[in-house]
Amino acid sequence: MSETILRPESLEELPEAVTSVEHVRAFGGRTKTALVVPGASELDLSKLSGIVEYDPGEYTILALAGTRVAEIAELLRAKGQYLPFDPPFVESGATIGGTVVTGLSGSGRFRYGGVRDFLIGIRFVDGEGNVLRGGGRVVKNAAGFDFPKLFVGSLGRFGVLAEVTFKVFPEPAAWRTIEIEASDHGAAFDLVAELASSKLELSALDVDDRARVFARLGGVESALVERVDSVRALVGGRAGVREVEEEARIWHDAREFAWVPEGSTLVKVPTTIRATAAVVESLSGRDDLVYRSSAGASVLWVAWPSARSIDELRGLIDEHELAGLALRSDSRIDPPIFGPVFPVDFWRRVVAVLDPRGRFRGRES
Amino acid sequence: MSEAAEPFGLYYAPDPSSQPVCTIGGNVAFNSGGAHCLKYGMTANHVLGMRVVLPDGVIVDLGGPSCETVGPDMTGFFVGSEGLFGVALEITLRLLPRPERFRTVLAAYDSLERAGDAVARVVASGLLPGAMEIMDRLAIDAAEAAVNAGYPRDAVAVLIVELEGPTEQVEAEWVELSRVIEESGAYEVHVAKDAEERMKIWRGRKSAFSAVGRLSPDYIVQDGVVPRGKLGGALAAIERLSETHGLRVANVFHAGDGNLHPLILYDGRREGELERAEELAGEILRLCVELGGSITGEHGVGMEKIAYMTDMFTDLEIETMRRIRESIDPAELSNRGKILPQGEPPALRFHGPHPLEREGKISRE
Repeated sequence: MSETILRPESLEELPEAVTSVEHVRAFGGRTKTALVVPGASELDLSKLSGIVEYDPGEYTILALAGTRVAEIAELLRAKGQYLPFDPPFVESGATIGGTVVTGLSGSGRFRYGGVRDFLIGIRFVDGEGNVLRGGGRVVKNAAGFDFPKLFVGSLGRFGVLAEVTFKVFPEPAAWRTIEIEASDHGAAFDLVAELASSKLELSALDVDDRARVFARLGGVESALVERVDSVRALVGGRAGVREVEEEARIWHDAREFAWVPEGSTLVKVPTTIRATAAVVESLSGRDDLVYRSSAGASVLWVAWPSARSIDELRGLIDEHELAGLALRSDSRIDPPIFGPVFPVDFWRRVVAVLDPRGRFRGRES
Repeated sequence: MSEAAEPFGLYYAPDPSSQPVCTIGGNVAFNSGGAHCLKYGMTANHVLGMRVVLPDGVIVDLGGPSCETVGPDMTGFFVGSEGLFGVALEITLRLLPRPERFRTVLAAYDSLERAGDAVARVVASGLLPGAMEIMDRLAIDAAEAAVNAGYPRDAVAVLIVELEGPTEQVEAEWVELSRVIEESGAYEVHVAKDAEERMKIWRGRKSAFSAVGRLSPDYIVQDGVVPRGKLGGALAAIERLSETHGLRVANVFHAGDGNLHPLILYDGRREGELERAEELAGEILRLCVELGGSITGEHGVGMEKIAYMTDMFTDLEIETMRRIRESIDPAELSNRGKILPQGEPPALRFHGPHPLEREGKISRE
């Protein structure tokens, strides 16, 4: 078991770096500490960084996988555009490649979709050192197998990402956020269901562990006063409603997971509104637990205290027939995957081709 | 499906024009698009989960009811595989609330270039319309002859732009869009006053494919993509190709996506004309690839475009796709002869309108 760190300086050096060791795991900003693979050589992609092509008129941006999300976000912002799936851990130093292979989107994914919906092209190195492309550089493309989708959430199992192309959108000119204090979580998720199926076109819709609902609106400044009133009208007299003054702060903290207590393990659990309500119900009584439901209750982020056994959470996720992924932890979470995540019969047949020697093996099998 | 969603105020966003007759399974196989893909994407962006049967009879569940996932996006990888990975049995879709308000405008131009330029102006303004479509003179003539949509008969090109969303937002955006259209040199602008007028505008656009059958005994529907900024150059090149091949080409396209649909008109009874039409179609596809685009935006590769896969992908990339296909389906039972060069396609030739289109029962984009 040799543990070396490989640091390719260019795309040209990447294939050789990949094939020079028999077990390898790529990383960029090291922001997802729970996803380290013990025994694997580390492939540091931070030098494969930089924006290769950006034409605002095309709504597309092409960057090397090791590029920090912050760098991309800054460049887009200068042209009034953004990544609508709201990638997390921007300030922590997450890279765009790491965001893709961990399949992470933030609260803003509620409006237009997640990372899977905005990744349109990739270049990657497979387990045999082959440099391959999938997808393309145009926003609409149905040619060939959809490798970009395959890589979203893949945890690097099929190859090492070298380049990614994203679809981007114009960023709304102004934002407003409404905070709704629901009486309990049942009422909060009822409201989420109503707001999510309304015609209000919210940009984000989160619920925190104190049953507070946060609804964000983005768009033309002059229309926002009336749109805020529409949200108030929908809630009616059922709960306390107030407009949040420093609204950007709320979404910044959600994006950076500023609410996660030091020392706890952050776990992502994909859900539905109904499933979230049920899980939250069974979490009640654990007062040391902090969590946040995001994107119209599509995902539950749980900060699991180090004092509690992670197997307790594993049991809960199994009991509700859900799945999960540990992202950040000070201790080793083995495996970081909870529940049935890989559809074995299908993905094995793909891995057999892209990584026949198991160079990218993790703890998923 | 759309009918079932309607009473709940929900809809299936991609809006394939063939939806009166197509099935969702077929849409999944081809990752079908439609006129409303700019904002919300294509079929793959709306499929959350599937039960599929792999070619050896193994049934696998992919994805689930949540918009969020952990693990590789095998659902997204399956969509658009044109039957080569197996057969979708059940599909879980994301539905969206139907927009509260639409604003649909039809602008007439004296040149295709001006219409294309207007699209660039809309994009530069930071607006994100639900649809932006262009039709050229031949396509307008055909649509008028077929459904009498009220398009200006002397126009060289028409542009359809549709805004959608909450009323206040759409009305505010409309002020901006009106200014942009006015400045773009449109010589006539028609705004749909009500739902009926909106439908009339769309009827003209959606009937265009079938309507071309009134201008020519046979035609080939092409589907290619170019970067939006290269639309003007692509259209000029298509016009030149049309002249050198001595065949008329009508252009209908999703301008917002850079997705071209040239309709190549020919008479199959004339010796050699089909071959000339196919040659012209092929040159258009190669042009799309040269300009950095794709050989298909939404219709898929099938058999017709197999010959052009090598223009878009390297031999190694095609070989990798073939090995994945063989790993999933060693006996090549499932839809043999599609997408990948080699294999044994059944001796089947099919061009021009679908028999139901000839009868005027269906229409598609």
